[in-house]
Amino acid sequence: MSVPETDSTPAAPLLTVADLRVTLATPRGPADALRGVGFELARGETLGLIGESGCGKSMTAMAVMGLLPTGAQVGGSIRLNGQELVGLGDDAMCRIRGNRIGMVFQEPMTALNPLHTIGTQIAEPLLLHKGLTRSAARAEALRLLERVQLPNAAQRLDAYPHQLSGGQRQRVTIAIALACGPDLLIADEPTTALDVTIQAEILALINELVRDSGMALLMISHDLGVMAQLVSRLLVMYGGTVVESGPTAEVFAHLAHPYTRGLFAARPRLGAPRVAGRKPRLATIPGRVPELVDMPPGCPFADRCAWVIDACRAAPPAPVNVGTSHDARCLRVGEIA
Amino acid sequence: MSETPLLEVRDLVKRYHLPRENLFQPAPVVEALRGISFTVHAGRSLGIVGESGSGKSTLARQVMALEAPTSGSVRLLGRDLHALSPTELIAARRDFQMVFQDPYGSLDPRQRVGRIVAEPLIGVAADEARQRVAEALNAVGLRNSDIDKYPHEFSGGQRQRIAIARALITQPQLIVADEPVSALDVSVQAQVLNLLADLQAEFGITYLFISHDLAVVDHVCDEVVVMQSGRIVEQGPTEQVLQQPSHIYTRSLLAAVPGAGTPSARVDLLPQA
Repeated sequence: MSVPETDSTPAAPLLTVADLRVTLATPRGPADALRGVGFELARGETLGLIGESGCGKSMTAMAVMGLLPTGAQVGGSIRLNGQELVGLGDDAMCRIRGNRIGMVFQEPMTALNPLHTIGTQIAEPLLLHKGLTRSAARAEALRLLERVQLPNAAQRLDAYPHQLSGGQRQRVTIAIALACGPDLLIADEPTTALDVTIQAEILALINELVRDSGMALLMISHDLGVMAQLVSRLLVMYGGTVVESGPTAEVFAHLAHPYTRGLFAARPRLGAPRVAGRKPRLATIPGRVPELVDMPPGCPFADRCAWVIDACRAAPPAPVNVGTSHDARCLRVGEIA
Repeated sequence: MSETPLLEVRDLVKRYHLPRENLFQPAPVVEALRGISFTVHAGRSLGIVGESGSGKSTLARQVMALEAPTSGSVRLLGRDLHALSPTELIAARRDFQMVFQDPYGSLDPRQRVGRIVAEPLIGVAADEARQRVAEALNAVGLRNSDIDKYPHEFSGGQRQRIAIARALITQPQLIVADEPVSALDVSVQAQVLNLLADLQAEFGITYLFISHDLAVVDHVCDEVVVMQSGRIVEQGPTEQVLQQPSHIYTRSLLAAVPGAGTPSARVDLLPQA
């Protein structure tokens, strides 16, 4: 690795997030959106953040990209290639964003500018970060469009976003994200707006690009199936904390945290057996996600958990090791498993 | 089942004329529906699956009589909806209601829940309307006190319950639900799907259930229609269509479901309550 080694370990991970805290200003007072999130991501590794609306998965990605809403207070540390990103100035962050970190968002129509051709939009980061000439950037844009397997790439270079389908647009945003050869690709629900067959194509493309380029992938999704297909490690988030983390297969096999279990049980399953011609009722998680301002001092899931005991409400539970690099923040994890 | 079906759609065709591109050529025509036929019996659920542009939502608009088809008929309880006079249609609308995908966009933010839910009631006295709103809110698991709140005070799942209460208030025979759970989180989606099943068991409601999510359709529907480019490519009992698909398009849809082999719905791991 050519980057300066600032950590004590010989092979420092590409991205180290430690005790990340984000406090947002809301009309009802300060709200803790992230309450001590920590994880590491090595080069070439794929990591998934899963959870429901408001759990903090997108907030985590926004914090890494330095795109938090104004008035947000950030604590803890985010290190990329050993460089601290928390507290980094706007200019310095702009040199990293789109350059060392590529981003793909959910809605490809709003992510692209409708007034510029896709060729111009793919060339933009190359002109800004790499100092390429216009003609060199255009040639590189064509190569990128071919790499994301856009059909008739040469003719499409001068097309506008509205002339492309949703899946083709998402290929273009991926090409923009890849333009500068980033170390880290952040994909926030990249296939949620797409049809299932197009989703399968885009997931296969991301998989292939990550494997070939050696960049790391931070994938955000609410879809367990997407995660199973794409990431090797999984973080399950709830109430601004990581409640379970581990290799995807391990998490799926053990479902150590009560919230992870609830999430799996609530999902309708294709081909589940019928009883008297009807599917059995889905298991639901009682109650609802607490609002950030009202987050309880103890375990955020305590009010909805079937295993809750008094100690759960006293203080946030510490991570308990339940397998090889597999942790769950639950006091009763030993009894549940 | 041999009795007359609740809903009978026959040879439905819908063509849209696009803006003329050239003075010397006819305006281009899109064939959104190319001859759709199916029947649904009372108290059953029919799923409509297919990708964007396959004609699912166009079909929903014809069934809801929001648009007139180019040809073909939609018969509900034996009456052809598109042959009714405007006044007859307004009266007939109490038998079929719709639930939309986006619980944020489908509720007027400036009206209170009581007024939103009461909107489909026509010619009903205020006292009775209030009583019926309370009953509808109860049926979907909301409180009486919610009647004076505004939509922004509710979560996404609760808003979808409000939308379902609005559909229920006329005691309809048929509810057309266009992607009713797609915008919801998994655990909230489970609550709304259970609610739809409960309402069907209690009131015998028939659902026309449009979704791109095959697992959800498999869960909700007795029968399923697979659409591609305005045509039905496969239809039959859900179990048969999704487990032994005969058309290549159905197979490709099923093959594209991500992580289809992953363990899920492992109810055995939950505490026995």
